[in-house]
Parts: sequence; structure tokens; C-alpha cells
Amino acid sequence: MKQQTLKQTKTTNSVVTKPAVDPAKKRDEILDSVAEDCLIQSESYVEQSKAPEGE
Amino acid sequence: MENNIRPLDRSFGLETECAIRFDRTETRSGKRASCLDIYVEICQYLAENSAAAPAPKSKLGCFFANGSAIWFERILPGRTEGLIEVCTPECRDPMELAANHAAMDRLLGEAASQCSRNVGLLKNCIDPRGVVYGAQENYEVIGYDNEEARQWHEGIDRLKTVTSVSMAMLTTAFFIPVLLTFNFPIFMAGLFATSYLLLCAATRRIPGVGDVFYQLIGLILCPKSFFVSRFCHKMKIGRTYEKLKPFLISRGVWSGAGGIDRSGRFFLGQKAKSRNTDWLTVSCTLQKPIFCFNYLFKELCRNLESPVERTSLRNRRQRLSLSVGDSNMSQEVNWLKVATTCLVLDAIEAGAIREIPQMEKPLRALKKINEDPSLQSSVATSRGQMTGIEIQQYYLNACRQYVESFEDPPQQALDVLKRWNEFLTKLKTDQNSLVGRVDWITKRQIMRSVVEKCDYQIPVEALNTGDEFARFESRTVLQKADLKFHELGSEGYHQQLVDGGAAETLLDDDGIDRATRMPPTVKTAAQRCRYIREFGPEIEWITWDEVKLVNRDSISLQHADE
Repeated sequence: MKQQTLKQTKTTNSVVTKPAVDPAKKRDEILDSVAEDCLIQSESYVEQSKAPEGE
Repeated sequence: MENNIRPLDRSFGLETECAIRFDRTETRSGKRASCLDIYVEICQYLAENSAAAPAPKSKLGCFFANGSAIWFERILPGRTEGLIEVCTPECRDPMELAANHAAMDRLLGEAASQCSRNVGLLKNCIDPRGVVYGAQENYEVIGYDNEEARQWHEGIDRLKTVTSVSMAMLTTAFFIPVLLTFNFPIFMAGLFATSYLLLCAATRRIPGVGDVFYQLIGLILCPKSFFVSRFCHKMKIGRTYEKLKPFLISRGVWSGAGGIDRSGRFFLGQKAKSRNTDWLTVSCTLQKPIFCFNYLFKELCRNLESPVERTSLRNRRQRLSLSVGDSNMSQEVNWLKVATTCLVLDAIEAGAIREIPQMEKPLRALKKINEDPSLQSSVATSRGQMTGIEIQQYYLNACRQYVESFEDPPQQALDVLKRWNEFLTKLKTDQNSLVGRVDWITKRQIMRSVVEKCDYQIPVEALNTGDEFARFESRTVLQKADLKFHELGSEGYHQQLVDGGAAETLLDDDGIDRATRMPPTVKTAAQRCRYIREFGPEIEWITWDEVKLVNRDSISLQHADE
């Protein structure tokens, strides 16, 4: 994949964009593992994620 | 066009509220943990890893040597339920802001993993019940540009010295007709009941007495907040906001974090979903505005002795506070969201954006664009029917013209234009190429993997529409995908994509690591951080622009724009 680079206006941060490595295959593997994880104890995860009003 | 306004030359910052995920039923030594306990643990971890100083006692919070601050955000004092709010320091470079934001994400993810319980911090804007919190963006804008407006600002600012009197007068004037016709106890009981019902309707749950009391105060103060609202509307800050509004309404096509609602419909932006007014008119929790002026209201109601940050209306530069943007996991979107908004503000203040695509019904347009992932819906504007992408394209063209009017424009402004154009082009031609870059597209892809895992076939006619997952029955599985996408640390789904190289990052590890320790280059932030490093334990309290050492008078920190 083509490397894309953002030049900086100041000297503080390095801003080289890291492209995905072997994107299609790697991405599918991760998505598959994430989908697997979603099926595990989803109800308790959702229950634990309730939040109080913030705005 | 005024060429004295340079692109990307203003202060800005982000406030991000994180929900705390943990098992509320788990007991240890007969005691259940609270959000407050977890906040304290997280603060301790952060303070061990970076120099820190406490905020004034009026609000539970802490400032760090990299310029950031965190707060325990709760609706009422004394409550142990709450959110963790992270604030970036004031920055003048979008890339510095993105680095600091990513640094705090990293630190908070580490802190959560070190907690004594299984804790997750969710950087999102909506919980499974539809409760809204999340992100707020702040930009420095020109508050007034002529002598008459300056005098107005100064006059309103003087209200602070007679706050209690003016409050009493306005409130009395507002309620006298009611008091004359009703018995006082009946009136108060009616007001309490109204507050209760309004809260029930707004939050879809049974509110506590404290919540109702808080709401009641909001109702009593509404004359004053209405007054502040009208004032802002008439002043330059209001005119700036009006020109910015179509941009904000359509920005979600690439900056939305995505999500599913209770009926399983997929939408682009979490905050956009809950907006019910474009302009706050009364200060209460029922109104969810695009533009927020709560900070001005607090300023006018503040006790003069209160040692909290002062954002005087007298200043020529004022704070424009926006409540429509999501908390983004993508570093690239986070950077672009702030940078494009800055560029649009620059172009507006320079007079480069004149005939904006004004919307007849802004809120309706926001909802319509937000609820259509196909991005085909058009809304009525003063320039005819336009899709969200077309409105963005209009602003992009105006900003390009503005930036190119400079002989030597900042490189970062050119980069912003390039990325912005790339996003819009790919949204039209190849949305899937933005997986790992645009949050709502990445999240939708995760949800597609989840339903595929469950052997569910998405109907062809529903593909790329809001109804894609509407008939999928295991709603909690999708909700988990939605929520865990935003979890900070290595367990979060977005982070897993980043760690596996399947999601792009904007900043390298060294840049983020540096931002966990170093403040941005803005003078006030740098000064604040120097105090924290040099006087740490001797600091009684510190705010964004003031520091108080033990047994000494407080010291005002120099404003960057002065």
C-alpha cells in the first residue's frame, strides 16, 4: 500500500501514517475473532455498560 | 476577504466523557464498588505515572503535567455514580491535539487494566438505554468585532457583580403572574411534578429526588439562561455559529461513530441521534443542543470568590462550544474533525464563506442525514436539495479557495484539505475502503461480521441502509459490538484492529508517548505544566488558568491570546 505522509507545521509530533499491514487477510482474521468475542456474555457486558446522564 | 486570519491559528480543545463498565453487583468485603471508587483508582494510577495536581475542591478533578485534566462528572454533588471526563489541554495545532487525545486514551486504557476489578472505560456517547453523554468540542472564536458589540459584552459581563439580584428579579418577573393566581405550596408542588414528569419523559427512567431538584433549579433559572441564549444569538458568536451549522449537520457523514438504536436501526452519529434543539434556550438536562453555552451561563451565575477558571465575556476571543460531534476512536477522524472545523471557522471569520446552504429545518436535516448510511438522502437548503456529502463538498471548496488565497499556507491546512477530499470521494465511490479509518464504517463492518458468524443473511435490499441489522434478533450481541468498539485499551475492538495493523493510525508511538509526558506548545498550558512539575505537592489547587500554592495567593497564568 502506498505510504502517505503528512508534513508537520511544528516539530512536536511525528505524523507518518501507518498503513494497514496485509490489510484484507489480517482484517478478516481480526473481524472474525471480534465477532467470536461478541457472542460471549454479551448480556452481562451490555448490563455493565449502563451509564448515568452526562450532558 | 480578510487575509489577516491565518488558517489553523486558534485555540481549541476536546472534552470527552467515558462511561465506566464494571460489575455493579460484585461485592468485596461486603462492599460494592462505585464509579467514584474506580475514578479514584484510575486517578491514582495516572498520578503515579505523571506529575499531577488537584483541581479546586468545588469539583473532583486532577490536572496532569501533559496539560490534560480529568474530572469525575456527576449530576449531583455526593453521588457516587458518574462518568470520567477527560479534557485535552488548549492546543493551537490540530496534530498536537490529536497526539494528546491519543495519549490520554492510552493512559486511561492502561489505568483501567490496572484496576483491582474488571473495569473498562468506554469512550462513546450513548449507553444501551439511550442515555447520552460524551464529547464536546471547544473552539476559540471572535466574540465581537466592533465597539458597540464590545460594550454589550462588557455590560453583560458586569451582571456577574449583581448576579444574585438580577437572578431574583428575572425569576420573580417570570413567576409573578403564576404566583398571583396560585397558592404558593400548590405552585411549588406543581413545579416539582412538572420537573418529575419532564425528567421521566427525557430519561425514560424513574428519576431520584435529587435529579428532580436539579431539574427544578434548571426551570427556575430558565429566564436567565433564556436571556443569555438570546444575547449569544444576536452577537457575532451567534452569526458565526449560524454559518457553521450546515457544516456541523453534515459532518457526521465521515465523523460519526455509528450505532444501532433500540429498534435495531443503524445510524451514523451517536450525538446527532439525541439532539433536540440546535440552540440551547434554557439551562436544563432536557435540552440536547448542537451549540452549547452552559459555560457562559455558569460564568454569569458564579460566586465571585469561586476559584474556577474565568472565561470573561469581556474577552474579544470567546469560546464556541459544540455538542454535536461524537467521541471518535479513529485518530485520523479525530484530527480531521477538529482541523476541518477550524478551517471552516477561519474561512467564516475571514469572510470567505458568505452564501451558505442555509437549512430550513436544521434539526430535521440533521436527523435525516444521520439516519441514512446510504448517504443518498437530500435535505432542503437555500441552494436547493443537497445531500450531506454535497454540503461537505461546498464547505471543502470554500475552504480550499480560502487556503489557496495565501501565498504560503500552512502545510497542515493543505493536508487537511487533501484528506477531507479523499474521505468525501471514497464515501461516494467506495465506502468499504474506509473500514479502519471512518468509525461508523468500521463499526458497521464489525456488525456485519457478527451477524455472519450467527449465520444471518442480510437482505439484499437492506444492505447499506439503516435497516441492515433491523431483523437480526440477538440485539445484545450487536450492542456489545457497538459498546466494546469504544473500550479503551487492548480489549477494545477498535484497538484490536489498530494493534493488528488493520486500522490506520495517524501518529507514531513515539509521538503519542511524548504527548503522555509533554504539554502542547500553547503558553498557558506550558506554564500550568511547569507549575505542576516544579511545585507538585505544594499546589493547593490548579485550574486551566490559575494556580494556588499552599499559604500563597493564587497566581493567574498568562493567556495565550493576550
